[in-house]
Amino acid sequence: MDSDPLIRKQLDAELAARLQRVTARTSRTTPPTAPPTNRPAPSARTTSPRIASSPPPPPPPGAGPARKKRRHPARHSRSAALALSFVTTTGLAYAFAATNNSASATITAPAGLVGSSQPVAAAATTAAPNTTAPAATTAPTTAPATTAPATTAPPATPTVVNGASVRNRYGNVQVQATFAADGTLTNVDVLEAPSRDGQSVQINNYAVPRLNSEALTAQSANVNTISGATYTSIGYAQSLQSAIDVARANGLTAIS
Amino acid sequence: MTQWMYYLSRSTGIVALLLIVASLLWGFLFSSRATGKRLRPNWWLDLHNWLGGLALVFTGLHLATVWLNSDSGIGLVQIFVPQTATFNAWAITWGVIATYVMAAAVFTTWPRRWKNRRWWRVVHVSTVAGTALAFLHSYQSGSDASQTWFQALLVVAAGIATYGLGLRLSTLRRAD
Repeated sequence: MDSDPLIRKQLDAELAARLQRVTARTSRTTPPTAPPTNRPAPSARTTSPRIASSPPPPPPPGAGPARKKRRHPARHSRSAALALSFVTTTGLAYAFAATNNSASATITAPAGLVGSSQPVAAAATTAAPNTTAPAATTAPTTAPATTAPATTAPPATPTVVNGASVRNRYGNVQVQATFAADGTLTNVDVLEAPSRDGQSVQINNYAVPRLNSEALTAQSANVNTISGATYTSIGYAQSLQSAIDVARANGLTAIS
Repeated sequence: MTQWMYYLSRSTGIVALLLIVASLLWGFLFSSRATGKRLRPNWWLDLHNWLGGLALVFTGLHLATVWLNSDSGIGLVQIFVPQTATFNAWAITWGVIATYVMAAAVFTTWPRRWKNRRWWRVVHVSTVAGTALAFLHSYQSGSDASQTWFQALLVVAAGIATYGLGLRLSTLRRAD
């Protein structure tokens, strides 16, 4: 292009001034430690030595100032969601632990001795705590009542004690514990368990053997709550504990 | 220890369900362009992805605690294979399927989204059914299913999810 050198010089001067303004603006918005970028080579129009030695040209028209890309725009909300989830999980777990320890269950029939080959104190039948109904002793006792159960001689043969009947929202739970002559818990049978529907029966078929096994292993009513059979487990533990209390009050066992 | 695993399995299951619902809602709001002007769409998308991943993590914790609870009667086979549980078989099956659906939705998006957009969409849309199964699972097998507070929580969560779905469907009709 054979243009007038004067015009060309004027254009170069205008371009150079414009580039300097843009460069100054870019340097204000870009941190000084920004990594080097592959800038396009100076165009053929900017051939003057002054422009060639000036800072590189700005990004193409329309592009804003160089901005650091945010990898996770919601990073604060992410952290909040994570923290909230863990706090909720922990809080719920503690709440479950607290409510499990104070689960509402009503004793509808007290614990009582069923029988043994040895005479047992009649007073034992009234020893169950938290009783709301008359005593449920089903086997007659022949020995006279005594006010000191601890002095009663333990029977030489296994003794059967009915636990209290504990009512929950699904039905009643009652166990029958058998104590050996040496006071160990040898067997637990479930006399009553919720069975109003097929699912309850299915759950109990699964849960009861596990509860029995746990009670015999632990030699106490301190059994774990079976997942999916929470109410049965709680009722089972309470009923068994009442049976153990009666047995201990009669000197049949030392377990608590 | 076992008892605490039991409590944790319940709490992680509930939190996982809530995270699933939250992720679903965020996804619906984002895809139906109902995100408002205050926050940019990529904020919604980012949180949607995060909530989905977090839901899967808590589902994993739920499975781990159920497995570690020796009284649950649920082993690795019951966790991964439907219809192998000795009791509550259907309820647990819904949970197993829902877990697979959620995992598929997460892993077809992260760390890189599937290039086949059509199949990615099919997998993503199937999370609606997966969420419904998760609700069914929690209602049928949850120890707290008989509790009033839990039933109320399920109703509220289902209402929120239904609102999001309705919003998305209404924008689909508008687009037509």
